[in-house]
Amino acid sequence: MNENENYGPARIELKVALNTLVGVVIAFLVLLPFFWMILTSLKTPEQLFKIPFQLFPEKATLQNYVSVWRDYPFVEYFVNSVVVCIVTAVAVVSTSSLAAYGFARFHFKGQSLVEMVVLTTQMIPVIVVVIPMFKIIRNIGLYDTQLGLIISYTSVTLPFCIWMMKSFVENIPKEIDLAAMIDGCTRLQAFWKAVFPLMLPGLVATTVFTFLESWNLYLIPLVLSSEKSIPLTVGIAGLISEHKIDWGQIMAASTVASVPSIILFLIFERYLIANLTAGAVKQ
Amino acid sequence: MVSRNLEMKGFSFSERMNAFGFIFPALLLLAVVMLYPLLYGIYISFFDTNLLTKFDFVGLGNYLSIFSDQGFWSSIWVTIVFSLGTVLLQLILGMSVASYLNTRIYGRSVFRAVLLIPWMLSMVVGGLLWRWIYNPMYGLLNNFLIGLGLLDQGVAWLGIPDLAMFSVIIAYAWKSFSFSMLMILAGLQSIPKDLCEAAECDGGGRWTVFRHVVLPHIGNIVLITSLLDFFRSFKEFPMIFVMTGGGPGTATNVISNSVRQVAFDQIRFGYSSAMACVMLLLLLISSILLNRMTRSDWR
Repeated sequence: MNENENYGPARIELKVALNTLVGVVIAFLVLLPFFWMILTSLKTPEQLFKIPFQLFPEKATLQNYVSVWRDYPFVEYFVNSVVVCIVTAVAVVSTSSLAAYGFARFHFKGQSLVEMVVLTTQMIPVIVVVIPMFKIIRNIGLYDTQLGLIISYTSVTLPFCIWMMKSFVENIPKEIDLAAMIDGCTRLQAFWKAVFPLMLPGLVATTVFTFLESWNLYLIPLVLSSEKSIPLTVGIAGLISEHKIDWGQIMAASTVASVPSIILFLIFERYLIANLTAGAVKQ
Repeated sequence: MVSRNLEMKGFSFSERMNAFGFIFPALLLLAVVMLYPLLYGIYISFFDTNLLTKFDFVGLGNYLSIFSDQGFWSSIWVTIVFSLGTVLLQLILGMSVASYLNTRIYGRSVFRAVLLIPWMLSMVVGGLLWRWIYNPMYGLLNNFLIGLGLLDQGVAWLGIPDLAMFSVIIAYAWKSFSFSMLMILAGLQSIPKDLCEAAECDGGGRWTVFRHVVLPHIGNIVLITSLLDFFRSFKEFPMIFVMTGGGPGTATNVISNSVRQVAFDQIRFGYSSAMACVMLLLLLISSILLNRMTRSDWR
C-alpha cells in the first residue's frame, strides 16, 4: 500500500487496530438482533412488557427455557429435527457423491439433458411440488413420519449437493481412478477406495451444509407432519396463536433451535466457506 | 498402452452401465419425489379439485382465469418488489462489509465467521425475531428510535402496507446478506495485491482503482450472487408467513404465500397448482433469459 510506506510501522499497526475496532462495531451492529433474541429469552414476562424499556434483563432467568420445555413437546421436536436432519445428510451425501462421480467421469448420450433436468429441479419452488408430495407421501403411508420427511428433505437438497460435489470430483485427477483400475479395481472399488477418500473435505462440507439446510426447512414439514414428526421450525412457529404470543418462550425456543446450527457451523466453517466460495473464485 | 485401453473402455457397454449405476439412486429419488409431483401438479392444474370428493376437468380454465386474476398478478408484483429490494439491500450490505473486511484488519476470518451467524438462523427464527423487534410497544427498534429522540411513539412497522414491505425486506436482507458478503469477499481477496498497488502507483485514486481494477475483477461474482439471491427471494415463503402472513391486506402477499392460501385456506388445489405452474414458468423463463444475458456457466 502506497500511503503506508510514508509512515512508520507503528502507524500501520495503529491503522490496522483502528480498522479492527470499526470491524468490531460493525459485527456488534449486525449481531444486535441476535443478542436481543438471547436477552429476550432471559427476561420474565413482566420485564418484557415493562415501561420504560430496558435492554438488559434486571435479573436474568432461565424460566422461559424451563417453561417452554415443560409446556410443549419440544424434546420431541428437537429429537425429530436431529434424527431427520442427520439421516437426510447421510442420504444426500451418499447419493450425491455417487451421482457427482457419475456425471464427472462418464460421458454418455443425453448427459447434458440429464444434467439440465437436475439443475432445473433445483429451481422448482417447494410450494409447486408440496401438494402432490403430500399426496404421494400419504399414499405410501408415510404421512407424519420421520421417514416421510427424510425422503422429501433428501430430494429437495440433493440437486445443489450434486453440483457442489461434481466440481469436487472434477478437481481430482482422472489418473487416480485409472491407476486403481489398473491395479485390478472395478469402477465402484476405484471410486470407493481411491476417489472417495480424496473427496473428504467436500464430503464434510456437503454433509454439514445439508444438515443446516434441512434443519431450517419449514414449508415441507408444515404440510407433511401433524403431530408425531413435527420438527423445531414448525414447533416454534406453532407457539404463536391467535390470542397469545409469549415472546420470552418463543425467543428461548429460537435460541435453543439455533445453537446446534451455529456450533456446527463454527466447527466446520473453513470447509463450508471454502466450498461455497470455490465456484465464485474459479473464474 | 494400458491407459489407452482403459480410455477405450470408457465407451464400452459395461462402462455405460457403470455410469448409469452411479447416477441411478439420485435420479430415482429426484424422479419420485420431485419430478413426479411436478408432473402431477401440472396434471391437476387442469382440474377443479379438492383432491378428495371433487375432480372436475376444466381444461385450460384455470389458466384463463389466472390471466384476469388481479390478486395473482398483484402477488407477482409484490414478489418482484420484494426480490429486487432484498437483492439490492443484500448487495449494498454485502459489498460494504466485504470491502471493510478486505482492508488490513486483525482476525479477518473470525469476523467473517461471526458475521455469518444470521445466515445460520432459520427463516422462521429470523422472521419471528424481527416481528418482535418491530413490535410497536415493546420492540427493540421503536424503543431505540424513541431513545434517540427520532420518534415520539412506536410505529407499527408491520401494520402499515408500505412500511410492512420495507420492514420485511430489511429483515430478510439482514438474515441473508452474509452470503453476498462471503462471495464478494472471496472475489476481493482473489484480486492480486500488486494489481491494486500498480494502479495506485500510476496515480489512480480510490475510485479509479475501484472502477478499473476491482469492479472488472468481481463484476461477475456480484452478478451471479445477485441472480442467486433474486431467485431465492422470489421463492421465499417462511419468513413472510411468520412475520405478516402476507398482510396487512395483501401488501406482503408474495406468490408462494398466495398459492398456499388458495390451496390450503380455500381448498382449491387445481387453481393453486395452475398458479404454481405459472410461477415456475416465470422463474424458468427469467432464469434462461438472465443466463443468456450473463453467459455464465457457474451453476
